Order: sequence, then C-alpha cells, then structure tokens
Amino acid sequence: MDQSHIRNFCIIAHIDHGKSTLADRLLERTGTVSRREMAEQLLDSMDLEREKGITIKAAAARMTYAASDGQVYEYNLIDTPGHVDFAYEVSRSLAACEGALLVVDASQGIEAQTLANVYLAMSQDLRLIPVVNKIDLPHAEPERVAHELERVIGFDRDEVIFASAKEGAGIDEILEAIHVRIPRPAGDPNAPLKALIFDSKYDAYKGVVAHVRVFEGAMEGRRSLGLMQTGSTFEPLEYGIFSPQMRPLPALGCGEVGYVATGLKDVAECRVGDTITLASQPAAEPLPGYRQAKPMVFAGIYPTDSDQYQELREALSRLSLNDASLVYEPESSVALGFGFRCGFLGLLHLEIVAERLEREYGLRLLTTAPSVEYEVTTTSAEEIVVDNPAALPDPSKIAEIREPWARIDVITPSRFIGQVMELVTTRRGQFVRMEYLEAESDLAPGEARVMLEYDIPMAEILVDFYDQLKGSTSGYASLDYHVSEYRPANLVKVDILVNGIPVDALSLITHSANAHREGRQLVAKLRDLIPRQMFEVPLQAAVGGRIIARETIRAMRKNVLAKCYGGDITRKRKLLEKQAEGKKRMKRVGNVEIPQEAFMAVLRLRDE
Amino acid sequence: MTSLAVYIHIPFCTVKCGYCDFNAYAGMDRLKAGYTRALLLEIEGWREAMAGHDVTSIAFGGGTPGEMPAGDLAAIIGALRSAGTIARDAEIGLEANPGSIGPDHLCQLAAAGVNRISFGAQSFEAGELRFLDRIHSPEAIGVAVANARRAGIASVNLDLIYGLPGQSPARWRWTMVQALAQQPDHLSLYALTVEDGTILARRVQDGSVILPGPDEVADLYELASARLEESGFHQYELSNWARPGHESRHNLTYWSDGDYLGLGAGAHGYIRGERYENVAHPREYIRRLSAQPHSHRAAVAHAYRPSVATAMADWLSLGLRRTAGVDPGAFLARFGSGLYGIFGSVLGECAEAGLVEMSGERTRLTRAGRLLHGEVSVRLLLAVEESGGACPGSLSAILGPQG
Ligand SMILES: Nc1nc2c(ncn2[C@@H]2O[C@H](COP(=O)(O)OP(=O)(O)OP(=O)(O)O)[C@@H](O)[C@H]2O)c(=O)[nH]1
Ligand code: SF4
Ligand SMILES: [Mg+2]
Repeated sequence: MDQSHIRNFCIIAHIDHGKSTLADRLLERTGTVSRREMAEQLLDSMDLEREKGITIKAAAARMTYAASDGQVYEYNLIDTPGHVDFAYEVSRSLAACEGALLVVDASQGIEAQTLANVYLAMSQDLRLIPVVNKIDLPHAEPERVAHELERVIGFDRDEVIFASAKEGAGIDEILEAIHVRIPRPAGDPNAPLKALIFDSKYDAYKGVVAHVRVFEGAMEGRRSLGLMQTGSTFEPLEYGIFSPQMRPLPALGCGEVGYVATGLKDVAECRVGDTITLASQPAAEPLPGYRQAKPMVFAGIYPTDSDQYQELREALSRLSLNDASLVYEPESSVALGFGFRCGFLGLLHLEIVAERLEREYGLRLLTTAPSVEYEVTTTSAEEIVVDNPAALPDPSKIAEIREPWARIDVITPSRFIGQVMELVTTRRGQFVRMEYLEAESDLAPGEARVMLEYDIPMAEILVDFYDQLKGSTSGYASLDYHVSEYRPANLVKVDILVNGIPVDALSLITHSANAHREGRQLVAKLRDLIPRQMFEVPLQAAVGGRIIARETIRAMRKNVLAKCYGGDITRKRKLLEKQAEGKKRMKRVGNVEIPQEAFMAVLRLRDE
Repeated sequence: MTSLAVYIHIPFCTVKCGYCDFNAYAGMDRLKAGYTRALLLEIEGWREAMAGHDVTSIAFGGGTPGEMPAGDLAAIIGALRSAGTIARDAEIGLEANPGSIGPDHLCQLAAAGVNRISFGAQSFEAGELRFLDRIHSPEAIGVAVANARRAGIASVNLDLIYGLPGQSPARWRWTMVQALAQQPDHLSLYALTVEDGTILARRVQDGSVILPGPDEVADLYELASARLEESGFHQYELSNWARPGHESRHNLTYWSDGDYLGLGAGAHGYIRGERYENVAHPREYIRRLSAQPHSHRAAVAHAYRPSVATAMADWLSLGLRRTAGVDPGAFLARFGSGLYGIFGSVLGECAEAGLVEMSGERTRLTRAGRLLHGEVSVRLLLAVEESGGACPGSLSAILGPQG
C-alpha cells in the first residue's frame, strides 16, 4: 500500500488500563477478526499471559480500515505490556511506529507507568492520542482524568477521546483519529532496503522469524538479504504480516510492519535491533537500533537434572530471541553444578522466564535467589562486578562495595503520603521531591494525586516493596523505577552451610547491621523448607567463617505405606512414584535433597 | 507344584467407615446372592489355570466377608476345592467385624474349613470406635474372640488402628493391653492413613479433624512394638506380629513375590508375571460374569506386565517389608542379575543412614528403617529408573485393558 495510507501505532498504558481489550475492539470493528474468532485479550496468546491476565509480549496485528473520508488505510497495531518489567518490549515497539494510543483508566487516572511510557514515546517523537478508557465503570471520572492529562502531560482537552474498550464506546472515534492525527511513515521506497528487527522468535521450520518495520526500500522476491550488524546473509523463505496470526504475503513495502522468515538456525546471527538490507545493494548506514536492556536483577538458573544442561543452553538462546531483554552467561556453582547466571528486568520477568523455559522447552529448573549487581573495589585496586553473592571476594580483599540505587516515582492520593514516606525510609530510601498532579483546591482533602520521588537501594525494592506499597495505600499507589547510581555500602556476605557443607547458591549479601538477624531468619526458614532427610541435618549461617546462627533438621522418622491391601501392589507403587517425582524436583547437594523453595527462602525473610 | 494364594473380595459392608477407601459398599446387601453366583462362575473360569498349582492359602477380604451367609462362603471354598488342589494345611482366612458375627455363624465357618479369622477390632476405646464409624463396641471384641475359639478356629488375629486424633501414648497402651488380654495369635497394627476422597480427608482438610504428626505416630509404633515383643510376639512384617507359627501365609505370599489369584469385584491378582485388577463395582462384576461365564478374564478391568525394572523394584520393596528381609541369591535366581549391581549404591546410602543392614545372607531393614520403608522404596524406584532407564512403564505403568 502506498505510504500515505499506512499508519503504524502502538497501544501503551499503565498495567491493566485496557490496552489489550482496546486492541480487541479495533480488530473487531475493522473486521480483522470475526466475532466468532474473537476472544478476550485476543493478542495475549501465550498460555502464561492468559493465566496471569497480563500482557508479557508485545504483539503486532495488521488491520484494514475504511475511513469516513472514503479512503482505505492499512493500520499496523502493536499491543504492548504495561508491567514495568516488560518496558523493553514497549520501547522496541515504539521504534516501529509513528504514533501511540495512550490509554488511561478512567477510574485510576495517570499512574507511574503511564508517565514512564509517555516519556519513552516522546523521546522517540511519537504522536500520542490520549484515550480515557473504562468510562463504563460506575466510579469512572473521565472528566477528572482528562483534566489530569491536560495538566500533567499537556494535551488539549479536545484531543482526549473517551472510550470503553469493554462496551465499544469511542472506538470509531479512535479509528478516525489514527489516520487523521498520526503521521504517515516517512522513508524512500526507492532507497536501498532498511528494515528494523523489533522482535523475533524461533520456528523449527522457518528458523529465526524476524518481526520487522521497513523504513526504506521494500522487501520482496527471493533476493538475498543481509544483516548489517552481524554481517550474516540469508535467502528469505517467506514474508508476511500478522493478522494477528502469521499470514504470508509476497512483499513488505516501505513503511510497513510484518515479518520475514530468515531460515537462519543460529539465533546469534539475527538479533533484535539489527537492520536488514539487501545483500547485493546494502544501505549505507544501519538504523539506530536499540540500546540493550539493562538488567536489574540476577539469578542463577540450573537444570535440576544436570543432564539437561545442553538443553537449557539451547532453550536460553532460543528464548532470548523472543525475549530481547534476557541476558545470560554460563556459571557454575559448587552446590548446583553447571547453569547460567541470567539478568532480568525485575522479579516478574524472572518468574516468567523460568516458567517459559520449563513449559516451552520441557525443562526442570532450579532458580537461585535473585540478587542485584554490586561493584567491588578490591584491596589491590581491581574493579569487579558481582551479580552473584557466591562470587563476592573474601572480606579481607574488599576495599569498598557499592550497591545500585534506584530513583523511584510513586503516584498516590495525597492522603497516603505519610505511609509511603514511612515505608521508604524503613528501607533506607531518601526523599527527593514531590509534585501534585492535580490542584488540591478542586478536590476533597487527601484526594489530589501526587507524585513522590525517592532514591532507594535497589536491593530494598527488589522483593516485596511493591506489595507493601500497594498494601499501605489501599492499592492506590503505582510505582516506576530506574537504576540511578552506585553508592558505597557496608555489606557482608552470609554463607549457609547445610550438613557442614557451604552451599554457595544459598549465600546472601546484606547490610552488616542486618547480617545476624537475616542469617538467623534464613536458617530458620530453611529448617522449615528443607524436608526431613534420612539423617539429622545441621544448618548454619556464617559471616567470614564465623557461625552466627544454627538450626537442626531432625531426621525423618516415619514414611511407610499402610497395609498392602488385598495385594494391590500397583496402587502402592503409584504412591511411591508420586513421592519419587517430588524427589526428582529437588536438587541434591552433598547427600541432602533441597527443594526449589529453599533457594528462594531469602526472599521471604520479611514474612517473619 | 507351584504354590498359589487365592484372594476373594467381598465388597459389602453395613456402614461405610469415614476413613475407608477400600472397594466396599454399604446398602447393597441384596446383591450378595448374585455376587456369590458370579464368584462361583469366576472360579470355574480359573479351573484350567489353577491346574498344577497347590493352593496354600485362601483369604476372604473386604468389605466385610464375615457378614456373608456362611453357606455362600462354604460354597465358594467348595468350588475352589473342586477346581484345584488345596493343600491340606492351607490357611483359610476371613475378615470379620466383631460386632456382626455370632457363635453359630463362626461354627459354620469353621466347619467349612476356615481356620484363621481376622477381627477388625481397631480400638478398645468406645470414643475412638465411634470416630472410626465402627459399628461394634469394645466389649463385642472379647465376645467375638471367645466365640471364635469356641468354634475351634485355630488362629485369631486382631486388626488395630493407631495414630487417631488426640490419641495419647497412654490411650494407645490401653488398647494394646486390652488387645493382648484377648490372647490373640496375631496382631496387625495400621497407622490411620488419610486416603483421598474419603470423608476423613474432607474433615482433615476443613480442620475439623486434626491428626497427630509423624513423630507422634512413630512413637506409638515403637511403643506397640516393644510391648508386643515383651509379650512373646514376633514381628515378621512392618505391620504384623504373630505368636510363633501363626504368621499369615497368605500375606507372606504378597511380600515374597508369590503368585496369587484375585477373585471378585476390584480384586487384584498376580500370576505368571502379570498383574491384573477386576472391575470395582459389584453390579458390573456380576454383569460381566453373567455375560461371559467361565472366562477367568471376564471381570478384568486392567492387566499389565511390569517391566523388568519395575518388577525388580517391587520385588525388593515388598521383600523389605518382611523383617527377615530378602536373600540376594533369590534375586539373582529370579532376575539373572545381582541385587547389589543394581541397588548397591542406594542400599549403601540407606545403610549409612542406619536404615538398612546387609549382613551375610540377607538384606533387611533395621529397626529404625522399618518406619522409613517408604523412603527406602522411593529410592529403589529411582535407582532402577536410572539404571534401567530404557525400561518403560517403570514410572508410568501403562495399564492397557487386555481382557
Ligand atoms: N469495565 C471495563 N473494564 C475494562 C475495560 N477495558 C478493559 N477492561 C478490563 O480491565 C482488565 C485489564 O484489561 P487488559 O486489556 O488486559 O489490560 P492491559 O492494559 O492490556 O493489561 P497489561 O497488558 O497486562 O498491561 C480486564 O479485566 C478487562 O476486562 C473497559 O473499558 N471497561
Ligand atoms: S468395615 Fe472395613 S471395609 Fe467396610 S467400610 Fe469399614 S473399613 Fe471399609
Ligand atoms: Mg495487555
């Protein structure tokens, strides 16, 4: 289609504000998906997305829209995730678009990721269309939210579209606004091909399938293509679009969004952010591409059964194609054997990656407790980065340890300011500034929403900070964060010995003032989480070789099946097999069987 | 002649107990006559297969076989006698509820050849019996035992259940003392187990019943164990104690990898390396036998041949239930490979933890190991799975219908 009739846009919002539901209505109203094929949040096609009710992967879809001006437009939509852990999906999607629908829940108003996404979109010069969604809700306050959009982001009052993705209100207005307000894609169709890979996945038959946005030239025919960063070339197997399933087409024109099946089997040859060009007539310069996402949290992923190591390596490489924010490198642990240290954008991301590896690749995995990344200056003036507590040098060799600090934005009704302040300060946070998003005078006392900014150590917000924040603000507060800087800290490593053997994967790094308490709590938690074994198992916590806490797991005394009833051996065996399955999920360290939960015990110290 | 045990399942009870997940039904007594006819047909079906076997034991289990008309039981025993060779000293045992079996009935059973009776005494505490939904009183147990003796039944067993809610060691000792006062020849002690789908499971789930923890239950077991030994009983299996000469031959067959027929609804059999299970419901059982009389497979719902790996693990796991343990030589004779070659490292590990002893001719559980038989067995299963990884069916015995 001619470029003047193409519009590329994404849908961005804070989590749960209704992006995917809005996408449903657009797909439905444009006839892309028939009513019969329609399902709620259709673009959330992954099992995990459906189970958790959130979007994890950005998803593209092409629609054809017959506009009221009598013209037919091609709309390329990308639905994005709202959770902060998947922000990298958003930023990559934005780079393929000229505009975005900014969705805001009419009952919640602007929240932390609303702003974070707005800044991202603005930094890429995208045209935004503000949509106040869920106006059907009884406690919706569309006017108030429209006012907030005006005041905080600077929209004009009449730019704002009121909609209910659930009931279909405002959908026509949105469809019209897209071609009127969002610019057509620029780019010279006759220039050498430049297509940005904004996402990809692996297909057993088609090799790496790259999701692309064509910026210059066009993709067609069988001509060899090349990747400008890796220098690889390939014969394209198939071009196509998402509608929303993959649908082959003979070509992708300038300005269009679609996919190309590269046939490449080596995932390293085709990375997200690379530019595809013609092998015979390459473009002079690649597109800017992406900055690699910066992981915030690190954890070891190990196969429970060491035979699965190679499979895990393969699975990680394939998954990292579809999850460009995942980074990993091999590591080994005395206790766990060979595995990988992986970097994640947050704990949800970690959880999703572990789940996907298990489900999509049939692996049985063990994940170690997450850690942030520390900087260490050794006494010999060497600078090292430590993302695994086990790798922290001996205290005598450490001149200084620095830990990452985050800048966080909390948006909350002003009546909760006290609670937020208290939570943040008990976690070593420091107040930076505060800004009202609404004029207090217009509202009941304590109602006006305010944005609070703090600096706080990353390690403090890693685990349950968000839950506590929600809890102390009756669910009203929202949170956004980014790493700001490293600051020196008085940190020590607590080692854990199980049956006298140090288990590196159970070590934790903590503030020296908390070491005793946390060491005690950790061994107590482990005592409850590690099942009783055939013999007594001592548990110890140590700092620098000195034992600071101990507990004992008493030997198991009874595990016997009752009578072998009427000779039913089969049933008895099945009961034993069930127990055997449980054992297989545990990791043997020395001669002690340790379940996955034990490696996560450190996350639950605050439950006490 | 190879020996054969015969198990006959009688799936009828007056009341279904809340903890029971046996194949037992209350309120179906009117099926009894038809059921007996079906059993006679099934026995007829086995006639050929039974030839060449020496039947060393017959056991009526349930349900409550003691509530079957004595004439029916006598007819069944008679049918077995005519179908095969019954050893002269064969053990012919029957489970009975002490509250529902009178002196005449016992005499008739003795006349039919029953020489072992097993009373579901369970407890000598009225409250505990009520909790278990048992229909008898503590006093009824003594009466039943005396009647059995008077009828001339040679071996009397009492089943007891321990690990009941709030059961203190003192209370359990009381039940033990009472049980011993009846001078039984044999005692079976079972820890109360919560089986999925039972009323008890629901009550535990909703918190209305709180069961003692494993350590407390282990204490009760050890208490009973010591008491029984003092009283001249010899433990020959994890849950079974006997006066010399009164060990149950029928049960020993299960633990020694012997062949046994299972007759009746939901009965399990094991013959010539094949394990089978009959349809569970008595009505379906009767229907199948009348549709296909004289076929020994008429009622079979599932049958399968365990893989060699599974058979090895079963052999060892069952054998270790016996206090005498197993003979490695017998393993070699049965499977053609060495016991320690396959299980050496697991057994070694368990020995190190003090659960297993491998001395001289026999490998057995230690005293401490008796309560951890499950733990040892799980390891045995995992070990064969690793060593004979190629043997399918070990962890997913696929029970294909072959009837
Ligand atoms: N009442 C009402 N509910 C809506 C509307 N739009 C979405 N919802 C509901 O809001 C919830 C979240 O909707 P989604 O479409 O999954 O939200 P999302 O923004 O895609 O969420 P993430 O992708 O996880 O960030 C679902 O329960 C929807 O049914 C609306 O217009 N009205
Ligand atoms: S009497 Fe025995 S078989 Fe019958 S329901 Fe009670 S426990 Fe089950
Ligand atoms: Mg969504």
